Amino acid sequence: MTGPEADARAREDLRAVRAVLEGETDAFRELVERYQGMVAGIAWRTGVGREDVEDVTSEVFVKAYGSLAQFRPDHPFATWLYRLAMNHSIDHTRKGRRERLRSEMPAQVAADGPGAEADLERDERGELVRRALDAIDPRYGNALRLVYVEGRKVEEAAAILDVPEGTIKTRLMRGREALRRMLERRHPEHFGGEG
Amino acid sequence: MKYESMERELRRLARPLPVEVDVASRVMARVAALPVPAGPRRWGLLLAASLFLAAVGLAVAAGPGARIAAALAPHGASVVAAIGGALFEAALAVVRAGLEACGGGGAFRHALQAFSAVAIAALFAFCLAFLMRDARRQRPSEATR
Repeated sequence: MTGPEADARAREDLRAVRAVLEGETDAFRELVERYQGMVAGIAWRTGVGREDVEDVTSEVFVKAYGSLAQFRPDHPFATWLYRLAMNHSIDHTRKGRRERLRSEMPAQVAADGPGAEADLERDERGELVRRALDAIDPRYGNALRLVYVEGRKVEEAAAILDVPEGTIKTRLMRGREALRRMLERRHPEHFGGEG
Repeated sequence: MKYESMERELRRLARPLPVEVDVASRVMARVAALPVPAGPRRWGLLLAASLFLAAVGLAVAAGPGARIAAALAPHGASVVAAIGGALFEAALAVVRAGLEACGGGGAFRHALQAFSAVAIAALFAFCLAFLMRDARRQRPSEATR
């Protein structure tokens, strides 16, 4: 989204937020409809299972509604919601990781046919990377998630995390290193000795 | 493993959402059962609470204030008290304007603003007490009269 478009949207968001705070609850629907795709995407890429994406998305919006008075208009609503969605999704995946992994594995193991083994290996590696991402320092984990997984630009990540761009670059560098070390130590069979 | 391959592993997690999500009705049904978020309505309540606290501060100051008025009467204390009162009103008006300009915020900010109202009252109480002490020192005793 370009600058003027983003500004216009931020103004519309702010108007809707103010309306909700003044008791016009219906104005919240506008925000839900506008951002449900973004929130669901964050949940999905954070590792929330397909069957839980809708629940997590709803929970994020209900949480946002409850904390709406804490939203400060000096940052865009989307940025505030983004952070809320990311934190909530990470908490959710941490809580249910073991159960979900167990329930998803049979479907993957059952996959049979050309490339199925490669898919399985890729899924497994992805899950290990995601787990390591949750385990490293959250400052690094969030920067890595925003830039590499969510595909945000460094300046966008800086705005979302409310830190200077230089800090994001440093966190990306240190985060990659921390992630690499953790993966090599915990899963040498998957990540050790690669060029 | 190199940095570049780490970046590649991370970028593999960037998977597009496979389903269309529509949670608007569900969310609206849930929020309909919730109270309106702490916005200007509760904000007004907090403003009233902070003013109440300021009034308590004033009441605390009123005890010494009455004595001061008596003690400083020969020295134009009523004028001092009137100016003090006007200053207090002005300070409260500033706080009130600040509260309105903020238009909503976290509990911490609310508490801070309530605290500032009490602090103003306490400051005035302190000033009055200081004046009273000064006035007592200056008042001619029966022996020296």
